[in-house]
Amino acid sequence: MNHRENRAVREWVRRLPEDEPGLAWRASLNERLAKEARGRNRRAARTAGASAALAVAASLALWFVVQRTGTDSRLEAELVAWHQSAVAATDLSGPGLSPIEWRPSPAGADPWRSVEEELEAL
Amino acid sequence: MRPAELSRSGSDPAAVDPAFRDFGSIVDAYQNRLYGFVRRILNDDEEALDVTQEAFVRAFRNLGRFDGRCSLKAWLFKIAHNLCVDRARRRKVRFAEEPLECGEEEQGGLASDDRWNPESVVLSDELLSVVNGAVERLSPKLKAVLLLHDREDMAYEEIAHVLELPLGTVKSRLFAAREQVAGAVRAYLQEER
Repeated sequence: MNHRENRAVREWVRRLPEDEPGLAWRASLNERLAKEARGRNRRAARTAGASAALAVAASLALWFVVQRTGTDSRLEAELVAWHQSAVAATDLSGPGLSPIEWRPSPAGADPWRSVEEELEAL
Repeated sequence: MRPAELSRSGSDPAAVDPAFRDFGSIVDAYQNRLYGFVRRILNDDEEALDVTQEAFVRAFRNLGRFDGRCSLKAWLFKIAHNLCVDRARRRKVRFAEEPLECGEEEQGGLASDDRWNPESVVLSDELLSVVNGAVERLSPKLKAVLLLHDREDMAYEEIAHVLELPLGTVKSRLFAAREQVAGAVRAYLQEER
């Protein structure tokens, strides 16, 4: 095929008559598109509804967490108070003999003397 | 009935969804070309109407996914072509290559015929029906390339994208398709002499 024939074929193909699908076809297409658009809007509304419900649920959950955190802080305060009183008691009595208070037992003394005897010896 | 007319008829998505309104103008611009392409590929008017409608509905549904990597026209033709391939598969029609019928190679005398001159193309009804018939007889694969290139003015690269073919295949199919059409015209002109 030469260049001239190529161009001629191209021109012929371009000039082939155009087809028209018709008005009934277009009306039917519009109906289908409208249905599709309505479905899309419904889907969008459903998504929006679900998002709103999720937001409300999240808010409620947050509110409950805040509420519970308030209870926990009271409990925490009680625990701290109890710990502080326990520490104060230990400070007053001490956990046992301090290094100053402790003296080694004299040689030959019975290592199994009772604590009461040792305290008396002090 | 156009989408704009639909908006006057009560509960209409066009009033709510601007995408519906805008899509109407896309349908206006491409319905004839797309239908012509599909009709020639399938060689069946009724099925072509159905496939063209389905192509527009799918395009509308997936408009949000159109990424602009190709033209809107190429995208629409790609959707339509894929649907044609699906239909052909369902009808068990193969989009197969057909052996080339290059016609008589006596180009010397025939090419001097004035009708080969694209500048002064006079398409008689008879010649038009010869060309139309030759195009219809092409295999769907050759036809798709010929119509997209010569009728829809698509570039090779665009056709390669639409038909998912290598560039070389597009060029060779276009050559083969034109050769078959030219062969039919040659035969007609020879008979006429």
